[in-house]
Amino acid sequence: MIRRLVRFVDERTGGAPLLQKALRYVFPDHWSFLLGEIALYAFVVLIATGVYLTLFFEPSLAETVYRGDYAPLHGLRMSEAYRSTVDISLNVKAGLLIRQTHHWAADVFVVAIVLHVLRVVLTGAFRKPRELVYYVGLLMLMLALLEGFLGYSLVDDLLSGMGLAIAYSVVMSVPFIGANVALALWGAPFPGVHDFESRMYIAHVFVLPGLIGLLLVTHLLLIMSRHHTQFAGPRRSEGTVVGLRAFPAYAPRTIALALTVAGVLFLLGGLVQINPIWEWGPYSIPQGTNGAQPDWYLGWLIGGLRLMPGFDVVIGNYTLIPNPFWGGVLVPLLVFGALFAWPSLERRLTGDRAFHNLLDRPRDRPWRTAVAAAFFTWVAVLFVAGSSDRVFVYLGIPYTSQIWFWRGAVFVLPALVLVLTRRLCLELQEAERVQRVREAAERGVA
Amino acid sequence: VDGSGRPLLVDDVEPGTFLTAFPEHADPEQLGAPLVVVRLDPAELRLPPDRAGWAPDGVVAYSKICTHAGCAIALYRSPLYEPTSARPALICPCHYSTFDPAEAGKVLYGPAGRPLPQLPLVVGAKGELRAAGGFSDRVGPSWWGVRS
Repeated sequence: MIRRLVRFVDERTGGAPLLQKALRYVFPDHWSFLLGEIALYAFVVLIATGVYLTLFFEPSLAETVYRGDYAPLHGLRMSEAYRSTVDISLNVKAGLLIRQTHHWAADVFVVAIVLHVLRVVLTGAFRKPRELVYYVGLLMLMLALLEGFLGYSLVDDLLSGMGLAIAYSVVMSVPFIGANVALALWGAPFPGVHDFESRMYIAHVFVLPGLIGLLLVTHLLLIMSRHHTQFAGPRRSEGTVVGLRAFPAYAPRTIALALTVAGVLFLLGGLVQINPIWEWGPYSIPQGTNGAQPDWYLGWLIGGLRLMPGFDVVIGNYTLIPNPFWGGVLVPLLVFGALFAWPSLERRLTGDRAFHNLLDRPRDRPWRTAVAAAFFTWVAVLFVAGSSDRVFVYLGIPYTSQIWFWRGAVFVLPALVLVLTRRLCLELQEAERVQRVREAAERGVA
Repeated sequence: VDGSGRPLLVDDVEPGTFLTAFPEHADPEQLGAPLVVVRLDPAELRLPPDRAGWAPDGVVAYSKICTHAGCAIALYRSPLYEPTSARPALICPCHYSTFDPAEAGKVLYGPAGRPLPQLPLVVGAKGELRAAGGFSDRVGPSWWGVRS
């Protein structure tokens, strides 16, 4: 029966050799190789839950008056977008579960990608011949950030409206073209035309997921064609891969991981409240709320905006560069610019142009590890600075003192981490050498 | 007027808190509409000489939209104990730009690059607050080429 089915498909597609190759594909084994897979399965959960949400979500800024079941919002004017999201949360069957799972999946998706990028940078997996895999991955990270931002901006609650006001100001602040680009996107000065909601919607549910899916397939095909990297070990060399075959060994394992990721995300969505939009209320220009925080993956940007001392670049009374440019445009340009430039910069600095199928242990490349740690610290400082208002609420440390502290720390801490990490790598290497000598000596005695 | 279209009287504005108001007939969902109105001790005001008459009875009005990134100024820091507290300030909850309502909306702290635009006020015959002219500056976030 199975044999006949396989023959039927093979005779009509000629797919058997390809399938055979895929089933025999060897996956090297290390826990850190699972981060990318977690991102992949979170993406699948995002698509599945997202489809369900589109059945009930109304992407429209048309005004309505709330007459639903949630008493505190009764009689308030709001957009159809916000009203339908409140209904999804409080009336639609499984609506809140699916919405919260969607939100959690987005947060986990970006966590997994960021850790995956860290792993790839720290182990040198981006080196020849895998630069393209790495660039495609970075593009996906950028799209994921935008996709997430659009997702919670669609709701048109008070927080998402404030986020869009900031996004508008950031776009406006781009020298020379900013105002024109902002007007083209929004269709009119903020809050823009009603169509802006449909523009965000089509980007969020079609264009960006489509692009991410396309890049994802490219990412995986490129990996398959160049094969996975692995750490050095017995029988593992630049030319041979040691690991589990896709079938029958690896398939059950990755299916189990997929189910675990989905299970954990649904548990989070069911048990841990996230973004209770009915408490924020609908967005209105004259209103704002205290303690406004974006989703975690934009925390470093709000940190950049908050750290910047207050000045616009002006000549006479003619504004050149408004302040949001530094935190909102320059910081992400620097971060992604550095990540994109990393492989070619490292090639140039080390003169290493060879093929690499074996991964480095971070300690064996002290300079790379130290620079990566310093770079990560810099972004982390921005992130923490962005949470200063929360720190004030919980710990009572005055906001202004914190910001002054971080304004210094953003320069000092990365330098400190650079020196310490390099030192630590060298010490670890040294400890291993000592260990080897001692073991050899003990064998000699015995 | 206030949020429901009722004229705002000068006596409605109490010290220690702020009110959100709009010019009459303005669309509240435009950046240029919302105002934040506070009452200060007239002796504490340090407005420039050309704005001397803009604050009847110490009541001042500024655009409620932050000049940094367009959020609504939703926080008012009012001293609880005069000798030690910091002076009154209007604060934006998005990036904590802090403006001085006593000194023509000057930036005290935070990332904003321009002062809050001030709206000159006069008191009408029935005690209602009226605008005596346009904003002192451009409302909302800046862009390349905007003249301040």
